[in-house]
Amino acid sequence: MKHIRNFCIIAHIDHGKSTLADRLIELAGVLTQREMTEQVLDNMDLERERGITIKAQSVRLVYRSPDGGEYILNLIDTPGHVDFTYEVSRSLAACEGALLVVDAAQGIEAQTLANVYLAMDNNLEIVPVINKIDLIAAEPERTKADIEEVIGLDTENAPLISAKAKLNIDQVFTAIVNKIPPPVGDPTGPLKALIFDSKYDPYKGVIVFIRVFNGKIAKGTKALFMATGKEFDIVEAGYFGPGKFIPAENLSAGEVGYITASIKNVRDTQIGDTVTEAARPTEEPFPGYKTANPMVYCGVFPSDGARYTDLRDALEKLQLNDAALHFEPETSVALGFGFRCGFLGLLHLEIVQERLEREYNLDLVTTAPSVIYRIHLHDKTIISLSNPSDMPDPTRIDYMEEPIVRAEIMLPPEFIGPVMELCQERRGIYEGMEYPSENRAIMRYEMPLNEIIYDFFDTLKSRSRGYASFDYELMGYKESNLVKLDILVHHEPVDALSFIVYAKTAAERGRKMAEKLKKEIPRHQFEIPIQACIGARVIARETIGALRKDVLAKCYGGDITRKKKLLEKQKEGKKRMRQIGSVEVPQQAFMNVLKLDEE
Amino acid sequence: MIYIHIPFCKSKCAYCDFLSSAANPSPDGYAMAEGYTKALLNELKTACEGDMKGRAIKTIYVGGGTPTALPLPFLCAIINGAKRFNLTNDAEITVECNPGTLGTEGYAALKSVGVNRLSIGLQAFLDPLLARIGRSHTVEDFMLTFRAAREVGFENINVDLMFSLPGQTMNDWRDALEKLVALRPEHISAYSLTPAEGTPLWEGLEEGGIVLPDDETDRAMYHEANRTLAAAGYRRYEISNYALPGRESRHNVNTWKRLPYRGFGLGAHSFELDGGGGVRWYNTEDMEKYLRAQSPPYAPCREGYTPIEAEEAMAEAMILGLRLTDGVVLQQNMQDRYGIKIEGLIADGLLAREKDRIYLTGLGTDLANRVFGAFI
Repeated sequence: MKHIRNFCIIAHIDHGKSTLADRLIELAGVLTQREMTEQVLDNMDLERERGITIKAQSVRLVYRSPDGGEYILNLIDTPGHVDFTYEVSRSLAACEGALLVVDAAQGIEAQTLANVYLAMDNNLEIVPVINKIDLIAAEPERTKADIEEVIGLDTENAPLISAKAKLNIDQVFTAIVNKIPPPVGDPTGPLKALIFDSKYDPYKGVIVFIRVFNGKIAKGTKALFMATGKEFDIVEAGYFGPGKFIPAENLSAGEVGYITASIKNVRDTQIGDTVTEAARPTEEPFPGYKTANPMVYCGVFPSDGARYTDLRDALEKLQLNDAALHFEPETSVALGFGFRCGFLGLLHLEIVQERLEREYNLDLVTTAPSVIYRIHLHDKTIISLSNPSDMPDPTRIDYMEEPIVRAEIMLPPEFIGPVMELCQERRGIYEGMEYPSENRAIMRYEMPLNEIIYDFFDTLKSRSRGYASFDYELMGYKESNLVKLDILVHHEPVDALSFIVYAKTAAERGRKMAEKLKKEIPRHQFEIPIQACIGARVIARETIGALRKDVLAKCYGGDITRKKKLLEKQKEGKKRMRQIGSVEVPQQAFMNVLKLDEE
Repeated sequence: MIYIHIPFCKSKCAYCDFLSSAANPSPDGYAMAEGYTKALLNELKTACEGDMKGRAIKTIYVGGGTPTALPLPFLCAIINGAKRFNLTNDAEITVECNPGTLGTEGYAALKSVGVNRLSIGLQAFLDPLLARIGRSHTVEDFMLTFRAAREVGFENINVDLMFSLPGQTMNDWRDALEKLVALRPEHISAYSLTPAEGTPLWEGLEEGGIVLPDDETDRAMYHEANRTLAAAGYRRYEISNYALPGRESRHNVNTWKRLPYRGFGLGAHSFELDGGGGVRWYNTEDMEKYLRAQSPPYAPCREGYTPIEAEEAMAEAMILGLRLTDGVVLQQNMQDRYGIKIEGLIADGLLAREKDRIYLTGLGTDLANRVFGAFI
């Protein structure tokens, strides 16, 4: 056991976590060059393309140290984004240590800090690694100082590396072996293993990722999942090879690996649950994790109504590996049949949407994201509202509450002014500021979540020229003066465009929506009024003038085929329109009108 | 119907997306023109003696590019080559020309080889506008050309004009129409400038350096042309074409009536009827390949064979035929297939109906793509 190291890598997006993971895999010699695709651990196309990790992945490396010792290194890759804090926390509990990878040109960012604190809460040994030292802009000494000042870690011996240029990777291995403690546990004691992830496989059923703390688990073990109370006969136990599963005789205390047991439903394997032996259960199960609850909802509709069942099948499949994704059927007058989906955050939403479109070849229309509002009615009932269309009549409402988050923004001091302004525009309440180092400030704000889900990230980035980073956690609910804003196109309400907004900013929002929509809807043969309303009160109005010209001036012999194609293209475009009364609205409009501040 | 393509120009206009290149006045350019002429003559000869043998030809249209950018003897040789088809007595033989390319002798030569119709690309009646769209001639050049053509006895002349040009005002346009009408050409084509992707004009629009009149102005200019030309005795017989009585372009009318045509030269398109449908193809757009194809061992150079099924043929008949002011006489099969759509378009005010004949209304002409789209 003293030759085992279980660790994860913590890094901000783009700081090079996956590249480092690849180098470790490559240099430990588990893969031949041919098997190395660019980033082994980021399995999904989407992850590779965006350069981010969504699902936790794991791999077992065998490292031969220069002194001849052979070490088993279990790397558990963790997601790096604010939306996936939950996935990070469950991976951390399976490790004894964490590599903290920091970009030598960019220093520490808010999200890195949040994950470092999570790791500290899990009593992990944190090993700083300074990456990208080959960049011209790299400032390794300042980055080291930054880590010491902000986090308080000793960086004297921190490896200075470039994962991309394969510089000093050996120092990372040495640091892992020397600094991260080996696991402790009793291989002969009662079985106690932690479920930190799971994955659905159509042939093997659910593949459960575990870390064994005490005892052994092998094929034939009668296992008890303590939280769900379900018992399974283990069919297979093994290790994580790079990109594949390698069966083993058993997994024993200190080891990381997987088990299968013909489990049909991912929901039977709760992340954080304790696996033990039915005949000799452990006396100390793990406390168990909280389940991840969606924070953001939106409607997801197939652009071709006939593909509703395809969408449902695709969502079911995604859910097998993504317990945080929720969905239920929804019907919209404008968009037809679809689903109301719940997500951990905006990135999660975007990723699910992109996966549906790419991996399942679906064309989607999504509606304005919404948070969950609490509506207190006069009759004392409380409604949780995640779909503005379900808003009860205002006369029945006593008061409403909205979710509030604690936001932490880390930025160079010169951007404090513009970012403060942004937070105030978004109804933020200033809570305080710290200067952990000379060129770094941390601002704390209390902010309504619904102000964040509308392009807050993008605006923050643009106002700080990309330097500010941001993290948030849910604080609770607060009473607020909220109204439902409806959009009428040619006097028809468009349910998919309704949303709930802070009363004082409703007029401004309505005006911008109407302006934007005016640009999105093509001219028709008739004039089209666009109105933003609260109840029956019109707060903004725009008019789309009638179409004056749509004609090909020339068409001779050689043109016919080309002109026909042009007409066919126009027709294709029409297919992608949604009919609202007599008006055809491009599907893109539903999403584009939400991007309010990017003018 | 025969179409002959001459892919050379003195210079390329800013809006042009036709297959043409600026001819090179150097010996290389001359050799190229000569080589091309030979190839074209061979292609014409092959068809004359081959599958087109004996077929009655009512129109020949030499277009481009700028046919008159070719050295005159070559152009005459090509026309003589085309005349070896079985031409009807009253065959219409049109040559497109640009102001400033030929003098009086040139037009006399064209007349003497049997050309009986000229199409002159004037495009704008104001020098700064001409310069702005990259035309290589002036208004004065046009006046000289037009007079020369009349002098040698051309009695059937078309003049091309464009509106919605960058920076063009309504007054510029009225002025252009008045001046042109005063010259009494037999035929006028008046086009709304349509920016095509990949042209300098398109890039200028994308980059914002060039601004075109808005749709309202464009339509006002179009309606102004309709009024002025009608008052001067020109009937609008197609969306953008106007003629004195009996002077419609027979070649183009036949295209809109979906009659077969054969194209010769680089990139030229052809259409043949076949059962209830037809087939379209075109010659290669690769000059070297085309030239190789017309000398031994005569490699094939036709591309893009596209059979047109009966149903698509019907759609084509609607899309092309409705461009004509007289519209389309509905056959029973059209009525069966499009009856409901046609009713809808009539209700929208885009089409009108007179017995079996349907045609675009004024509104339908402005929004013709909406009508055409319904038949796709």
